[in-house]
Amino acid sequence: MLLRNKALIWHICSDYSLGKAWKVEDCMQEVIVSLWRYFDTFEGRSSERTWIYRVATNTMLMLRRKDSRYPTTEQIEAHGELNNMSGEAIDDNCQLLRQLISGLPEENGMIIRAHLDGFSYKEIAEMTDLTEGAVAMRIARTKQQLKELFEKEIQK
Amino acid sequence: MNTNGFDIQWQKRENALNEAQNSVPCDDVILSMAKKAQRQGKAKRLWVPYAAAACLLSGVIVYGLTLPNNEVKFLCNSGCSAQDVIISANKIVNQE
Repeated sequence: MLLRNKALIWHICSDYSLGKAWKVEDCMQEVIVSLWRYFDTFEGRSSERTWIYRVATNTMLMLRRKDSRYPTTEQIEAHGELNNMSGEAIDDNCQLLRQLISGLPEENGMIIRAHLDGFSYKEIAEMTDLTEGAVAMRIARTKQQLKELFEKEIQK
Repeated sequence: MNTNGFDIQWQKRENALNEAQNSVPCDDVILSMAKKAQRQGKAKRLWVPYAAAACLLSGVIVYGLTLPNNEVKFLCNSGCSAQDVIISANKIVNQE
């Protein structure tokens, strides 16, 4: 299961770490350990991919809460210790969108990320215990909100 | 078309997972993390390097967790005892 989904796990870790290579690897360790721990809770009611996405996302949110007690990545960045992932071209606007998504309330951020990663409304509803209609509405509203924030930032 | 616009960036982000599928050096991920943990010697949870290497060869997923008392605990998915993992891991270490 792990080997089948490692690119997905890597991607989630990378997204929540805003592409910082040193952090992605640490997060990957944490996520895989979580998957191991919670494997017994996988009952096959949702797809393997959906279950992994939910466990990985919850782990990343937990790590982020822990991190908030320590210096932020932006502060470290300011001290020149930032490593972008090798081979990944990140332009400023792409990074801006990532940061805006990262700044969303946790649940909305998770919904938007899952939507962007190709999960259906039904699958996202399973992950979040919302109805499909509620998921669709959140996505539409949050996308609009992101668009406004993005354009405001660009104009600065 | 404004190539820096929101819609373009949104689309790029939509494609990010596909790009990851093609570009992540997946086969080496576990081993490289293990080696990094070994180099740093300070990872919170160490992936015992030889166990990870054994995992790559045998197809068994093995985790080496370092407990607070520095004892290393092996966990593996199934069909394989920790002892077997350690034996094959030692072989790999000796080959290196």
